[in-house]
Amino acid sequence: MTPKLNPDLAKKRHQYQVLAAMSLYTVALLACMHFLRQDPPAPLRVVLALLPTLPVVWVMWSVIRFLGQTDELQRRVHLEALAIAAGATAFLSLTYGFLEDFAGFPHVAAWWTFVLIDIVWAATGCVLWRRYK
Amino acid sequence: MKNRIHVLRAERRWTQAELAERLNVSRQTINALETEKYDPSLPLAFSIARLFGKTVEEVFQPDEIVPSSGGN
Repeated sequence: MTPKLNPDLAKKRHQYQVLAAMSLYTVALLACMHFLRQDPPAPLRVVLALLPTLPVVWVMWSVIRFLGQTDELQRRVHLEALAIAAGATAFLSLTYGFLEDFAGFPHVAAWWTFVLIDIVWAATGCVLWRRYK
Repeated sequence: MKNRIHVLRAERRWTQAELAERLNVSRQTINALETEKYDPSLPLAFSIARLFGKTVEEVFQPDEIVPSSGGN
């Protein structure tokens, strides 16, 4: 499949979108924390808790679009890195879950899996690219 | 797989970025192709050959010809 947009331009556009989405995410998170301090009723707390996830949906949509627009090698490296990151994150989450339940390790919030998968994805991508340089 | 992309590009005095734009791939991919670290898909190999006015065999050569054993 030949992408319509040049992959280098698609990458730049994706990076701008991620930057914009993450700025919005920061604002949403700060707003959410601000209003939660005023102890709102339960339904409103749910809305506030979900607010910062909306910009993350924008990031995921941008990733999917970028993967569709980029060239075959870029797609291959990104998807391989994502597969490794998903596997590593699943394994680490499972391992820490057992440590938490059975060995009394401190509780870690579930949203850390999102941070973990992103870090491992980026790091694995850098390592995989070295194969092609 | 061996290829002559670097030579063919140099003959036309194109930069990697120019070739990337003509083929609609990233510059990193051109670099990976020229250093023979990545073998392109058949559609991309045909696009490259067509761009240089060559056949696929004139641009790409296998590392060594392995005689067909008729399956294992």
